[in-house]
Amino acid sequence: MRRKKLKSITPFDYTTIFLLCLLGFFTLYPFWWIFATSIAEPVWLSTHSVSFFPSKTSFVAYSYILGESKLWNSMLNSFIYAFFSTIVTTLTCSLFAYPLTLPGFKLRKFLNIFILIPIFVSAGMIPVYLNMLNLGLVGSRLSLIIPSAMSTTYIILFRTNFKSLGGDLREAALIDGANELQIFFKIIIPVAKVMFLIIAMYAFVGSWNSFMPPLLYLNDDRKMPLAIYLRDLLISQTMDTQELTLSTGGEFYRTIASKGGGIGMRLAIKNGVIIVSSLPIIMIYPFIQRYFVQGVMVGSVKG
Amino acid sequence: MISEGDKMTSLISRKKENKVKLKLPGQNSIWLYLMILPGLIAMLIFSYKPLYGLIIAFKDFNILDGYLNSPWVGFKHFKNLFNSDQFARLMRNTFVIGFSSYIITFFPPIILAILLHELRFNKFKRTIQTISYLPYFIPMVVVVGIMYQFFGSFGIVNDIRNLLGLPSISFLSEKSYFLPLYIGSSIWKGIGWGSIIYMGTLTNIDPQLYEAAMIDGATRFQRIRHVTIPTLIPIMTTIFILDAGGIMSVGFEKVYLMYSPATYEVADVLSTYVYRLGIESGDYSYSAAVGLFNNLLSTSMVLICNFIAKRLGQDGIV
Repeated sequence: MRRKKLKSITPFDYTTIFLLCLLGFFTLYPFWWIFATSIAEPVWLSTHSVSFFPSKTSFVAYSYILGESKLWNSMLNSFIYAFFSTIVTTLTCSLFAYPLTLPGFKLRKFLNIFILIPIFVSAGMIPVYLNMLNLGLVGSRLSLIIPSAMSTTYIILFRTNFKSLGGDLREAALIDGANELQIFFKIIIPVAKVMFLIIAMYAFVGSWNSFMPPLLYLNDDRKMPLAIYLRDLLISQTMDTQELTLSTGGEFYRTIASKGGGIGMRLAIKNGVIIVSSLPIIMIYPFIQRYFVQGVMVGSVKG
Repeated sequence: MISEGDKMTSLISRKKENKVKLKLPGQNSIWLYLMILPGLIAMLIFSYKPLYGLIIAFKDFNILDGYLNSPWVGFKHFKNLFNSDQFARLMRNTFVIGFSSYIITFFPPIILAILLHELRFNKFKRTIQTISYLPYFIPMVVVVGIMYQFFGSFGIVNDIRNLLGLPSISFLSEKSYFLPLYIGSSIWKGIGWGSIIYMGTLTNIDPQLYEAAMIDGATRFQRIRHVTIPTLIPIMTTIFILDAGGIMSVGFEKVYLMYSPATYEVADVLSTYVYRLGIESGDYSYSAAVGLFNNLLSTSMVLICNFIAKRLGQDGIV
């Protein structure tokens, strides 16, 4: 057995490690700072600043946040949209992709081009909006679920993956008298489980983070997803000395202002909201991150 | 010696085999057509049908007359756009923001991938990778929200400035800070995720190439220059072209979240202008024209970059 020569750690290595540590620090520090500020005691916070940890802590900001029903409502909305659009999108794209893997399928060439064109040729925000208006989808929750059903990227990923499964299973099933639908549900889905999971996760995160469609198509506070709620609360206040009359932020802050704590309370709450709304993502992140990376790898092999 | 009889038999059985293969059901089963149907309809309704709606860019569209009966005005909207006060500003901003962010954010993921690839400490490597992907998953609203806090009047950046005796700056209302903040946050959000695809390519490099280089006396930098980087060139080109379309269609969401009337001068881009005019003010025809113009610019960028790449000897995507 050949023993690997132990290479000494060079200055290059030290520099690399240092740079990468810097990257890690800069990535994580903002989150930490937001969290530290949110657990700072509001009165103290109004006159002091946090660098790594507040001198006085208090969770009072979170007690207000927990009572803010609009936040939880919007989270629920986001979850509903993400859940249903994941199912719709994953099913539609995979069902569409399967026939494209069969060389004898008559529409194959046509459909392959059909799905590529919209990437290059897009009608633009206004015609798309008017189209939704005509379809009566503006103001409806469906506007966040149905239109995203088709995605060329997902279809191509499915197609590549299905192709690599090989035709033997299918031929054996056909001889046994199965029809294509049964083949899809009983063979393809179980065998390509990983791909389905990856696409489902992409679709879920895509829907959870989606901002423009709800901005354009929804106008009812009760249907608003987390992204829009956050925008109203965190960003519509560009001048932090001004009070807003916007329904979401204004109301909430007026209630808070009446409870005292000054600027510090507002800051702590804003930052607390950021933390609370990032929690779902941060919690499932370690588990799903692996699949996303796999997805990129698969995509890149084809690309 | 094969007899005539045997020849005939083998011919027949071969023919039978062919026939059996052809007769396998499925290649055009009704189920396949049903499977593509939902997707086909969805794409037709949501991606293709709006293309017809593009005609309003050449009409004076109003809801009552609808698509068909609104009067034709030819290129009037485009002429108005090119002659308007805002056109120069919009083009400049779209181009400056799009182009500089495209160029500057292109390299950090590559550098990160190369650095990670050079590392031999796997646990550390994987930890850093996992940490670096996190910002990609955080929704843009939250990222911008964090920015507003971090760089706001009560944020840590101004705290440090005050400590050094410098006055506070309202970074997000200052025109001169818009671009650095925009690009900086793009790098922060995308560096980790962007490096994945390069890492994938790098892990496939045959280690023997490096060993051979070392035997020939190559230094670390020479190894990177002659082995690592050439391997990355093809994938870099592909991404270069694919992302080029994004230059002119500067991300609506991010600019929209980051800008304010105070920074319109440098931040307003074609897509945000379309939004304000079309969705907020209801000037559908004009904004559709602007949007169409924007899309044409994007497509041209992709084609131009594709052409440049081919000229330089790489494979394009078209």
